[in-house]
Amino acid sequence: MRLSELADEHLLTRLLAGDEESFTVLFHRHQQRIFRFSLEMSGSSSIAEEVTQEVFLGILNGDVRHDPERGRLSSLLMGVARNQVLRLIRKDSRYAEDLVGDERPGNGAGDALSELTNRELVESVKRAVLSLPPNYREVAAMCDLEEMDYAEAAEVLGCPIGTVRSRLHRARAMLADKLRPKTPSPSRSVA
Amino acid sequence: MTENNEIEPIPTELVSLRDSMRAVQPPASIEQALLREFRSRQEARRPSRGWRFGWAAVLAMATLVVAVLVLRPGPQPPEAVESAEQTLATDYIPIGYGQPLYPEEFVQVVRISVPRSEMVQFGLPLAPDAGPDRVMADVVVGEDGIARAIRFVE
Repeated sequence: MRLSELADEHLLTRLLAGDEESFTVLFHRHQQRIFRFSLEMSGSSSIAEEVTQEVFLGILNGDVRHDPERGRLSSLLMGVARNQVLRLIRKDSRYAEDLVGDERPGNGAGDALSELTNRELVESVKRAVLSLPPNYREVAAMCDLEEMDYAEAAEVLGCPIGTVRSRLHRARAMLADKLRPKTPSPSRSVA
Repeated sequence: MTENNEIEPIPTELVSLRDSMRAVQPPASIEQALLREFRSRQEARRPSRGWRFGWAAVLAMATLVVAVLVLRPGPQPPEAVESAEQTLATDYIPIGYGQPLYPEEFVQVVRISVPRSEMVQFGLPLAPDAGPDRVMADVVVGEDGIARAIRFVE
């Protein structure tokens, strides 16, 4: 069986015994989601990089100890990432505003105007997501952006599935409100 | 269909953001830094040459003692030959490659039956008339489930 086919638990055991290749496989399996989630939560590349590094350092240090009976390793890693990112956001609240500069390159397809429009839309949604309170932002990031199912999100957050559902419902409603085009009030339009 | 769709579909704006994030990757520098850290830790954990030679000397001495006791000619004390109780044939022998045990690490000792020929792998003599084909062994298993040491029981 190839290493890439091994379950997380086996890779973890092997890497703790000193197998570098197992570490590499485990890192590649989880790094992107941890990085993206941290970026979606903070809007800051530097925070996302720090969180990603800290999560995997925690594994190497033995600070991140996985008990399969208490959940999946992927949930544990996301939980550690969540705690780290919330700590860093609280520590430096300016990151809540530092989001527009973190643009992603376009895919090169389509004409320039539609590309620009799409990027503007994406940036406005990013702003809206980042303006959500953290407990709503995290469920939107996990369930809608990272496509985690409710059960895994509940595992990461340590709350019932029903709480995830209701927070996500509320988060979507808040986002819809923030993204709705603002119409001028009737009194002003008349004037 | 996932559970995510049970409340209501994901708003299209979020789908745009999600799609724009799909290709986002952490910089390669993170992996490089972690691999450096991983290697330096492995290097620090690896026993020094002197340590290994020390263990080799202890193991050789233990082997010699066992060999002398097992193979020495002349009548054996009855209790040493015919005791129904199993006695320890060796001390614990570290099993290579794994990380060393931490002082407060929780370990389990599991008694298993192994082919007598396995003793050769640990530098122990295998006398032609040593006895049954299989021998009992105690294996020390660390918290991570990896075997760290073994001792043979006669």
